[in-house]
Amino acid sequence: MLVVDHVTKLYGGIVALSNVTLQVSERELVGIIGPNGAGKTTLLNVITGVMPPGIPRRPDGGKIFFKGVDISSWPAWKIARLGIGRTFQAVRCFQSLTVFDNLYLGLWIQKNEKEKKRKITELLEFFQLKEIANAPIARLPVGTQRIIEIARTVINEPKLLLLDEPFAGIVGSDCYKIIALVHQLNKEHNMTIMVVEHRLQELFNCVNRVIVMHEGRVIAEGLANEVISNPAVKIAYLGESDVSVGS
Amino acid sequence: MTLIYGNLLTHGVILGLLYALQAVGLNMIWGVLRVVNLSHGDMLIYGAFLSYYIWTVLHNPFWGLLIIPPLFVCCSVLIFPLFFQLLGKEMESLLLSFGLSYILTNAGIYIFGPQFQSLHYLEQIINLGGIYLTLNKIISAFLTIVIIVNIFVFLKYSRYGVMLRAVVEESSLAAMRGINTRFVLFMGFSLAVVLTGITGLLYSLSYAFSIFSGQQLLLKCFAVSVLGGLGNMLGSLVAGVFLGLSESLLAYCIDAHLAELLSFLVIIVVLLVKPEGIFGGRR
Amino acid sequence: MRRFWGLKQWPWIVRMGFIALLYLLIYFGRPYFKSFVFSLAMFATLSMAWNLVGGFLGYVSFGHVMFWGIGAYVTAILLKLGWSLPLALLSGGIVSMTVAVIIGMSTLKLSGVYFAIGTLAAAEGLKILAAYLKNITGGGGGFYLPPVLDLQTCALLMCTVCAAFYVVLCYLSNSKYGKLIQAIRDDEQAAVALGIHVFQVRLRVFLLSALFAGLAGGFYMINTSFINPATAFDISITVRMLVMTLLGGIGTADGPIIGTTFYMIISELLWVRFPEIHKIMLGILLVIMVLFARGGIIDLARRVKVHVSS
Repeated sequence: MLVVDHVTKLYGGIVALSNVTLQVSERELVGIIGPNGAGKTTLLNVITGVMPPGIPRRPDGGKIFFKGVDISSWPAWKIARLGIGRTFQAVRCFQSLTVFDNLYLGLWIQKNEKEKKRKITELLEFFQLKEIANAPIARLPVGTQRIIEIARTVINEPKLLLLDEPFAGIVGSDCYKIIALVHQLNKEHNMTIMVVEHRLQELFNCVNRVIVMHEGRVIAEGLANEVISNPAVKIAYLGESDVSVGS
Repeated sequence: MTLIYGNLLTHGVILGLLYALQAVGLNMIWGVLRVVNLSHGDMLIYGAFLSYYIWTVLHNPFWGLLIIPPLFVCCSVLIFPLFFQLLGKEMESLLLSFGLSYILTNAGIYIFGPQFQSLHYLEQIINLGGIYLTLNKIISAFLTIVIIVNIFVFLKYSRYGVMLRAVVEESSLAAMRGINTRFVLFMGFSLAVVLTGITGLLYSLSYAFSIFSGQQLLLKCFAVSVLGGLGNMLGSLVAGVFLGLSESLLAYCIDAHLAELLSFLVIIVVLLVKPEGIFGGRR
Repeated sequence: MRRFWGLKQWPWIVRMGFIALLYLLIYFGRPYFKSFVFSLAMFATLSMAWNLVGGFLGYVSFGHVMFWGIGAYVTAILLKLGWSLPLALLSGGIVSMTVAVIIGMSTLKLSGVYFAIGTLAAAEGLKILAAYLKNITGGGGGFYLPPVLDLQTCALLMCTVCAAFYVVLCYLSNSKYGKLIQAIRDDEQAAVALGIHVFQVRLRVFLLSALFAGLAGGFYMINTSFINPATAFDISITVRMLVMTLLGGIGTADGPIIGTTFYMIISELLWVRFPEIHKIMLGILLVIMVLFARGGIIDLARRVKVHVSS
């Protein structure tokens, strides 16, 4: 479904991505890990076309294909409408709007008003946000905001969902909620999901296949336990403190 | 025929160098405070007027090289805190610099009057192999090149230049190293402002000006900066010379008034086609 | 008193009341008041137009006067050619929108800095162009038009256009589209990632702004019968639009009208005494507001309300 073909991206004088090649098939659950600066978020940025201001969105080399279409130089809004949804590293809800409005905007590109209302109610129900539907986002805790951000991204039923560090700043039961959500979206809604994460324990409960990146390159790929015992991966992580994998 | 073009080219390049220097000042303030100083043109013209008055009183405008810097530093002391307070807020900084420009222009009408002024100093014409240049233009061109080179070297290699770049690019890290970020930014800003004043002095040597020339010069600085890449010093140099040349040629071949419109066209076309400019700046 | 404030419709009552007051002044006032209301309605329209781009989108325009100037010139030229009044006025608006498209396409995809530079450059460029095209525009000497409508009719029409624009803006800011605009202001990248065509939204808003500014210019021409490049592209008019919007409350629907009213009343009383330095004082006022009172009167009122109720 998604093919990243020898993609290179330079910015700020750094080679953020170097000849990255990977593939994601339909209905897969893939994780992307790697130490800081490995280029994970840049990879998501290049795929979705959403770059920090000032940086051109095209990859400097290589191509990206989604469902057979070359989206390498497509503008971000076009890519999103093709069926790719993403969340961001730092929670990015629309701060001056309410929960309801945030979800509504997730559906902006759809036409049917009744359908929209139905979907929003459904999601509010599912995520247990009904009581705070009209609360302004700014007052809500980060964990809730992250869930709202995910809700807003999935309400439009993207075919490919890219999650950027969804577990950052989340504790306790919210973690399980997100893990359960990932599986549910995958099984019941046939969503292909790619998760970038640092927290390996939570990640390995979500995904089947793992891709490891380091300094802009893919250095390993495979099932979770295979990848962890890979010596190259251990070297890449040397010095990182969150390589504590439980079960 | 070639002689006419030779003269045109030389005058165009000299004009272009001056445009480049003006744009370098604008880019420095952009680089330091992340704000486009819309009062840049007015500051230039204030420098030019100061130079004019120095010439009328002391008969030698180059005294301005000593008088302008301290005066402009004093102004910088008054203006910098305002910009520093709005650091990071793009819209408010733009509004502030716009308001400043408006104040300076109208105060200038009041102080200097609305008429054109020109300086007549060292106007002997020197013949360099068929190319006729007034002595003041030669000196001005020479000084322009000297200043540009010095600025480049200073920013890239001097201790202060490195500190300035560190503060601008990663201010939290710089602060941890014990660098007083506010002071460093202030020094950068003052340097840019003084540079602008001196550029005004150089401008006054060869060209007539009025308080209203400020807006026009600002427009040219925009064209140069956009073409060369906002924040890119080398880009300003090349783009400046290019603009100066084009303007001279156009003014001769077609019409002087249309040459003024060139800057406006350059801005729109560049932004449509390649917004980062030729050398790449911030988008 | 409490119940009155609690009434959901009270903002609309105040708004309608204000507009009714303006109409009364036009019908029953002396020519001085008719002229005052005309200027007020015109500047209110301009401020609301500026606020659309500067407040709603967050893209400050420093050359907004150019749309007003274009509207004035186009209306004048077409009237002289014998076109009917409504068509001439509308064409003024349409030409303004065309220029807005060009500027918008170059700058609305980039950060606000380029928009500021682009609008400023465009206004200056058009000023030079207007002076250069002597045969069409009358050049530096200006363009004279034989009188078309009397002051009262002009004032009425301007007031109606202004009121219509006001109503449109109020609905816009409370509607779903208004929420969209707010979202884009909050986080452009998140909006884009949801498939929202941000540039298209910005361009549409910009075009609406240019249209009404152009219409205001056309009405000015009909009322004053004279325009020249220095007036048509006078940066002082942009500054006034800006100050009026900031004064009332940037980014709000009612801000520009409140700011315009305050400004016009104060300027009638104050500036008359200081004609030479009034522009300098205007600039100082702008700087002070940007530094200390960015939210304007509406923000001040909100803070007072919070303070009082706590």
